[in-house]
Amino acid sequence: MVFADLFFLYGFLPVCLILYFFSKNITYRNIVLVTFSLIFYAWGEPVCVFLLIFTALIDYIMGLLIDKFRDRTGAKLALIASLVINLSLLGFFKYSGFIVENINNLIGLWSDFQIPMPRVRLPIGISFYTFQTISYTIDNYWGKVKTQKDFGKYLMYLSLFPQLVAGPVVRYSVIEESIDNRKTTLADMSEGLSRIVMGLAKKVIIANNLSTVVESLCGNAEIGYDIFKTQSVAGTWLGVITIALWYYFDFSGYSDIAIGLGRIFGFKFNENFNYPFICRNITEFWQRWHISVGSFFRDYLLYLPIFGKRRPYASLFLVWFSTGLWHGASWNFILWGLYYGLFILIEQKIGKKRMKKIPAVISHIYSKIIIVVGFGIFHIESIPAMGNFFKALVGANGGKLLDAVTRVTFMNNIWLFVAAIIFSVPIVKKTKEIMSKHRSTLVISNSIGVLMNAVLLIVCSLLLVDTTNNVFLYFNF
Amino acid sequence: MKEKKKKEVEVKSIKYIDADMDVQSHKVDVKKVEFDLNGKQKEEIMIQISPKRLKQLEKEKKRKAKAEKKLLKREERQKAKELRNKLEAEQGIVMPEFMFINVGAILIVGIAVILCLYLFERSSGISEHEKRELYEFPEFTVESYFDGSFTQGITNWYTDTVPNRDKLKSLVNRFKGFFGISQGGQSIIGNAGADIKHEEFEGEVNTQKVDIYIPGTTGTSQSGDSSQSGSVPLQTTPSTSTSTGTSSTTTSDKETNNKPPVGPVDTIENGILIVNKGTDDVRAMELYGGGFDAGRKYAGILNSYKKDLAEALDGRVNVYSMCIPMAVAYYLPNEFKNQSASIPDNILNINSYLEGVVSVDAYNALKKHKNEYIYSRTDHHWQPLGAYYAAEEFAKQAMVDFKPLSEYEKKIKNEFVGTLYGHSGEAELEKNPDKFIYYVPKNNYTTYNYNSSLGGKVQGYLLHEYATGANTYSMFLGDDKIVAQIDTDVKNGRTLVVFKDSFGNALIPFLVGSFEHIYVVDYRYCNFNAVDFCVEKGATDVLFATSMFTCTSSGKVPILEANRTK
Repeated sequence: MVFADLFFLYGFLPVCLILYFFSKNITYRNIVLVTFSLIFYAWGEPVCVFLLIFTALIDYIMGLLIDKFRDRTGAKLALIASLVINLSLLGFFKYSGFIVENINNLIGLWSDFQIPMPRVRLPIGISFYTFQTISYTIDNYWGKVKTQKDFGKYLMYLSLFPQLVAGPVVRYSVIEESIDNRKTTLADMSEGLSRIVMGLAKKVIIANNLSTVVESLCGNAEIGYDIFKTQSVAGTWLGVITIALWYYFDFSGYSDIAIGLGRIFGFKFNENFNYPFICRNITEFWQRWHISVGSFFRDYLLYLPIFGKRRPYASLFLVWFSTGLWHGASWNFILWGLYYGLFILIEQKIGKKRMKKIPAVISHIYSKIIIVVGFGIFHIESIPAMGNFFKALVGANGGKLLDAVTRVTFMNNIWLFVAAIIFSVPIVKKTKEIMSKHRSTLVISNSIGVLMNAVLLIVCSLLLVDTTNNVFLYFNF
Repeated sequence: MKEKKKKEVEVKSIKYIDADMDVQSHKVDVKKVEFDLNGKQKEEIMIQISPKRLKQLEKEKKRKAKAEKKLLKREERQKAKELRNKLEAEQGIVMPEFMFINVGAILIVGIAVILCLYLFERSSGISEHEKRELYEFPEFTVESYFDGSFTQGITNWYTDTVPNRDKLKSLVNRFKGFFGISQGGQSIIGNAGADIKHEEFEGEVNTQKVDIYIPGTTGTSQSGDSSQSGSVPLQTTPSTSTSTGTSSTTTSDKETNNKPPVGPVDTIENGILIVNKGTDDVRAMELYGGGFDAGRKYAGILNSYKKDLAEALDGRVNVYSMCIPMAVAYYLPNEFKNQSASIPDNILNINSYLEGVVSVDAYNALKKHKNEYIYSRTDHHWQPLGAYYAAEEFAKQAMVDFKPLSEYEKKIKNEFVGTLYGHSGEAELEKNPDKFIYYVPKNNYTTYNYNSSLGGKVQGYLLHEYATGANTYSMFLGDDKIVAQIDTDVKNGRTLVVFKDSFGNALIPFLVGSFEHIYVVDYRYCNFNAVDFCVEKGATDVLFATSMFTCTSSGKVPILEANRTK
C-alpha cells in the first residue's frame, strides 16, 4: 500500500485511527498498530510479510541473548549472528542478481559458462527495515537501549506502518520510550495532520507532475534514455534539475507523511530532510538530505573499530561505497555514492575554515551543480546512457542550445517550477517565524495555515483520482 | 619475580580507578583493587610505577577523556538540535485555538471526501475518455492473493471507480492548466522525441508499373506509378466519377439494441503535441516514431501476400498498399520537425521494397486538401473527408467507378472529443470539441457481421450512427473485432478484401459504390488464414489500409505475417 492513494487515505487509515483511538489501553493500541502494520505490508508483499516477521523474531531472540550474555563472548556472538543473518538476507534479496550478473560478465571474458540468473524479487522496504533492526541490535549491544523482552512490541517497532517501507530509518532508541508510554496531544494531532497534508501536497501536486516533465525531457529507462543522443543543452539541464527537485519532493513528501502519521500515534520520529538545497557544500548537503540513512552510516559504519581515525580514506571510501550500494544494486548507484565521497574528501582537504571563506554565490553554484549532476547519475541506471547524458550536458552530442520542446515544456510548467523552488527552500518557514512574533500576524498566519491545509487536502484528493497507482520512488530501494 | 608482576597489575588497577576509567573491561583487576584499597598500600605502590609507564597511562587517560568529552558534546549538540527542531516545528501553529480549528478543518474535509466516496454510486464499465474498461473488484483466489494481484486489484478498483470519475478527471485537467502558460499555444505531453527514428529515405524511388487485373476484360490495364512520393506530384488525371448503382433507397442502419461500439483500441504510445491553444482551432497530434526496418518488413510481407494470392488465384488479383498518414504529417510546426519521424520518407521507404503490389498514394492525395477538415483535432484518427480523398485515389488506382461526395447524405455529429483528449488531459481540447462530419452512401447494400473466427453470421450495419461522444469514430462497422461483409448493388464482378486497422474503417462507406462485394478484416483480430480467406471469397482486389503507426511498428507488422501463415 502506498500513502498517496485514495484507498489508504480514505479506507485503511480512517479504520485504523478509529480502532486505535477507541482503544483506551496502550496494550490494545499496540495490538491495533501491529495488526494494521502487518496488513499494510502484506497488501504489497503477501509472502514477504513472513520474511519481515522472521527478521523481527531473529533480532528479538538475538537481543535476549545479548542481554543474557552481556559483557561476555556470548553477546558478541549473538551480535555477529544477527548482523550476518540480516545482511545476508538483504544481500540475497537485493544484490544476488547484481552479483551474479557481474560474475557472469567476468567469467564471460574467458569462458561460455554462465551462472543462471537467480529469480529473486526485492521485497518492498527491506533496505529500510534491515537497517532499523540493525540499529536495535547494535545499540542493545552497546548498552544504549534496554533489551525488549516482548516480541509483540519489537514486531510493532519493526513493522510500524508509517515508516516501514520507505523510511525514515527510525532507530529503536528514538521510539524506545514511546512503545509503552505515549499519548497523543492536541498539538500532536494538529501537527501530525498538517504534516500529512503537506507531504501529500509535495507528492501529489508537485512530484507527480514534475515526473511528467522528466519523462518528456529525459525519456525513460524502457527506451534507454535515447533522448540524450539529441537533447539540447538547455533541455538536459532543465531535465536534470527537474529530476533533483522531483526526488526531493517525492521522498521528502513521503517522509513528511511518515513523520505526521507517527506523530498522530504519539511517536516522534527524527526529521529526515532539512531543506537540502540551501546547503553551501556537499558535506552540508548530506547533513540535510536523507538524514536518517546518512547518520546511520556515520554512526554504525564510520566508527567501526577497524577503521576509525587510523584509516580515514578507507573508512570514507567504505561509507560512500555502502551509501551508493544501499540505494540500489547497480553500478550507477555505486558511482553516485563514490562521486559524493570524492567531493566530501576534497572539501575535507580544503578544510572547514577555508570552505567558509569561499563567497556564498560561488559555493552555492558549486554545490548545486554537483548535486544536480549527481541526481543525473542516480537516475540514469544504464552506463552508456549516462555517457550520452554527460555529452548532452555540454552539447557534445551535437544538440542545440535550446530547442522548441524544452521551451514549450518550461513555459507549460513554469508555475510548477516556481512552486517547487519556493517550497524547497525555507521561505514559508521563515515567513511563519516572522509572523509569529506578533499576535495579530500570528492569527493571520495560523488562519492561512488552516485554510491551506483544507484546500490542499481537497486538491490532493482530486488529483489522486487521476493516478491509478503512482508509486513512491524510494520504494525501489 | 612473580611478586613484582603481581604488584604491577595492582598498580594498573588503582590507576584506573583514579582515572575513573572504563571499569567494565577490567572487572577482574578492579575486584583486587577494592580489596587492596583498604590500606596505605595505595601510596606505596604508586611510588613503584615507572615514569615511563606513568606517562603512558596518563596519555591514555587524556585520550579517553577527550574521546568521552567529544561524545558528550556530540550528544549535547544532538539534543540541542532536536530541541531546536521541535521548537521550530511547532512554531507554525502555536495557538491552541488554531490547533483545534486545524484538526477540525482537516477532519471535516476528510470525512466529507469519505462520504462522497461511499454514498455515491461508483463508476463502472468503460471510461469514455480513456477508452478502457475500468478495473473491476478482483476475484479472490489463493493464487491471486499470494501473487499480490488481489490486493493490488482492490487498490486499483478503489481509485478507478471513484463516483463521477470522468467529471472529476476533467476538473483535474483544468487544474493542471494552472501549472504554466501556453506560450505560443503549444504544449507537449508524454515522452516527445524520445523514440523517434530520424531516418531519411535516400534509396531509389520505386517507379515499377503494376498491371491491374479487371474481371471481364481480356487483358490487364496498367496503373500509374506504383509509388508516389512526397516530392513527386500526384497524377493529375481526374477520377472517373460516374455512378453505376441505382441510387435508390438506402438500407439505413437503424438504431438497435446493439451494444454501443467500443472505441478503437489503438494505444497512444508516443508524445502528443498540442498547438493553437487558446483558439477554437486547438489541435492535438500524436508524434510519429517511424522505423525503416519495420517498414521494409511490412513491404516484404505484402509482397508475400501478392505471391501467395497470385499463385492461388491464377494471377487474377490485385494487391494494394495504402499507408495512411496521420495528422502529424501535415500540421507539425517547423520548430518541432525533429520531434517526429518523416511520414513521406517512411512511405517512400516502404514503397521501394514493394514488388507487384500497387501503392496507393494517400499522402499526396490528402496533402492537396490539408486546409480542409480532413483530420480531427482531438482524435488521432482522420475525419471521413480525409478518408474520402484517400478512397478516391484508391479507386483511381484500382480502376473502379467512384462516387463524388454529392451522392452521399452528409451528416454531422457535434461534441466529438476524441482519444487525444483522454491521453493528454488537455482541457482546451475538451472545451473545443470536433465536429464529426460523415457521409451516408445512398445506394443499396447489405452488411453482415461475423466474429473474428468467421462464425456467427448476423446482419450488421455499415454505420452505427448512434455512436456518440468519444466513441463517435467507432461508428464505422462498430467493433474492430468483427469481420464485415458488404454486398452492394454494384455489378462489376470486383470483390474487395480490406485488411485494415481503425484508420481503414473510415474508407469503407466510400467504396460501397465501387465494388460488388467488400470484406473488411481487422488484421489484429484475424483468427484465420488471411490468404485462404481471400481465395475463398474470390477476391479480385486486396487492400492493406493501415495507418503509418502500424506499417512501421516492429510489434504490429509481424501480426500481418502471422495471419498469412497461420
